[in-house]
Amino acid sequence: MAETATATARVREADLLAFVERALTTVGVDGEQARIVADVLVAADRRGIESHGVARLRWFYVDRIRNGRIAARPTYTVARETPTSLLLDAGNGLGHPASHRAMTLAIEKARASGIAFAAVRNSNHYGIAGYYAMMALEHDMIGICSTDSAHFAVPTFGRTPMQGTNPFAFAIPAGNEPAFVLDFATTTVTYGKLEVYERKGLPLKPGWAVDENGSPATDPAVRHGGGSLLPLGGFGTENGGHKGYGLGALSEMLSGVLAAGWFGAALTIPESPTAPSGITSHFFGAIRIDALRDIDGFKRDMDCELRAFKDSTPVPGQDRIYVAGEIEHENEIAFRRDGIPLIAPVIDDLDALADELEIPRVARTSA
Amino acid sequence: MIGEEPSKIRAREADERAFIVHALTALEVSDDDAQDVADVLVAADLRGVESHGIARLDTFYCRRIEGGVVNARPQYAVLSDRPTQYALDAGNGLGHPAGKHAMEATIGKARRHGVAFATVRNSNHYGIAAYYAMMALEHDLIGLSMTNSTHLAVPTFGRQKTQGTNPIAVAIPAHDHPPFVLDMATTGVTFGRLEVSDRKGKALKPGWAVGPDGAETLDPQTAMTKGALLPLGGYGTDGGGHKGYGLGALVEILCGVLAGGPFGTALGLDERGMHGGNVGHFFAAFKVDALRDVGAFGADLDRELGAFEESRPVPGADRVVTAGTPEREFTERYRVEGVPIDPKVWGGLDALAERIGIAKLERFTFE
Repeated sequence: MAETATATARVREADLLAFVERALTTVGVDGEQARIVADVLVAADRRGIESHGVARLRWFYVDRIRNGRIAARPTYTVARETPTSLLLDAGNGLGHPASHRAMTLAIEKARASGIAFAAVRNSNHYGIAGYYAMMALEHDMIGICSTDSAHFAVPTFGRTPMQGTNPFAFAIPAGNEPAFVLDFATTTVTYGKLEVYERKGLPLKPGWAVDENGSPATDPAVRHGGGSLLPLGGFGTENGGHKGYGLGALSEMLSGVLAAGWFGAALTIPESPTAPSGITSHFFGAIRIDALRDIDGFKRDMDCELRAFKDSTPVPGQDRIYVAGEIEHENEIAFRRDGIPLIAPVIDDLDALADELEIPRVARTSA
Repeated sequence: MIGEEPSKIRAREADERAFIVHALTALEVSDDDAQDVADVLVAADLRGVESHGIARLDTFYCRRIEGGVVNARPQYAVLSDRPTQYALDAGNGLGHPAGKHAMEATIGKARRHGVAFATVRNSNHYGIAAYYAMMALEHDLIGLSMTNSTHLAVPTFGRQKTQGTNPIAVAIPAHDHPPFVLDMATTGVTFGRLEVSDRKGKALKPGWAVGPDGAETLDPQTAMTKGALLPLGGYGTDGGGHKGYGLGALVEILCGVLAGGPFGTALGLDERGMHGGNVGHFFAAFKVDALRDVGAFGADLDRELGAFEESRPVPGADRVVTAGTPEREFTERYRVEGVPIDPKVWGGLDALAERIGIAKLERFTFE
């Protein structure tokens, strides 16, 4: 997230991983599945994507397991499988382990066949899309991932939310340079950004949101009055809003429709303790690079390509040009060294959760 | 041209096709290859994408063949041919036959193995990306097509051109509903849009272009002669410009680095210069029934697309469309009314006909 609130605590990665795992096993999640969820959530915090990290542990995962909306011990079913494809029904379990399973199998299939893809249905929120795309990197493969999500965004010239923030992630390995990791919502900004601006009392930027009539809005409270997000490219077609809308729709077609999961109106039901779950679907792909060219030559060329971007001249007032994934990579290095920063509301929430579950609170670093 | 009324001076589709074939065969292109180019260029004009149709026949294709920059009779070399992968060196020939050849190979492999992909290097401009993605539709496959291109766009916060308009096209078959066809440049607008503003004496919109210092400019001449395009999402990161930049870089990596062709500064050449063989393409095809039954998928996609189209438009807009709908409507219309060709383009086509000694393209006025 671009907004970095004042960090009020830092925790060690290992401590945070252990805490998330403990919290989930305490509410009945299997140990191996809890480890995967912990890894995905902490990866988000470690990469500086705090909106998708442990801040959601209670709200998105623990509470939904406790009130029975998400199955703590799901039964997975392989709905269809070929040497290059897999459709997994996640049994309304947590999205992270199901996605980890699907991407692992896509990678195995791609190793044997050169390319493979997988979809998951009857799943739930899976955290950051980039995590699963990045699973391909250590296998010298290109990873692809998308997910649909609850509808918050209008289509171009529409006024009814018809799609979610539906992210796409692509990860491509390099040699000495950090990997290229593009992970982006197909809306201009995410819902969390509106919350941040509302808290700060700042007007929204053009191209972010519309009011209940579908007209461009700058009031940060617009989401309470029936407002919605705009697709990447903003209102109308002038700045390419139809492209962001098309990408978001593509995500829902590859995830919900291709996976024979929920799509369309089913994803518009407002969040509540009784709202249906298992409505999320995901899409994964893995491509083996050495099927086309020698991997070392590819990585050398990737280094050249990424450096060409980074070595290009920035505009006045900017220090440097980044490539996708670089800021997150630098956060990982810094936060592994210095501890992961957690803002006060998040650490307070984790402490309260620990007390409720009667497990030890997560330790702060001494620094 | 985008944002303009279609020309009233029209050509019949069959005549336009024959003219393109005559022009190219007169320059020693094989009849088969010339037919391929005609298919793609006529499809662009029919779809209302005039910037990529016959308007480019002379400058992008004929003159480059005459100048010895593009090979009229290229030797293709198959670099890799495996069950799910295909890599082609197009011998610096025209991009359209090479693109069709590679996409056909991809489709054949995907029909047998569920999914396949291909790269092409040492190629040239291939027209509209959508054409190749749409080749998958009749086989109940999802098609994907991308190409890199001459560098016209800056990265986020940069002032040097590091990527082209690098389009991505995806085509997904429905059942009764026409297919979803997303074909988008990863820049906010294309260079052609700047030319339209220039011709009309209108200022550019924010988010389209920068001047030589990398700061936004609204002056078409500054942008066209000294400046550059902005990625989808516009300047900086507020409107998600880093996402468009990331998508453009992704295309550059898949079409340049993965294909083993030129990338980076090698593509930083003047669009109007005479150069060949620098372009690469990436294609993929996915079999729908690798994941679920085609009939059920098509029926669900009909519902999904219908839901978007039935959603309420904003005040002042007639309707909400899905990707590919306007282009399909143009095609239906222009097949009946004749293909509109801009008066300026007609002049160039007549001069071309005289130069290479073929009959002029017949025209009529549509009232």
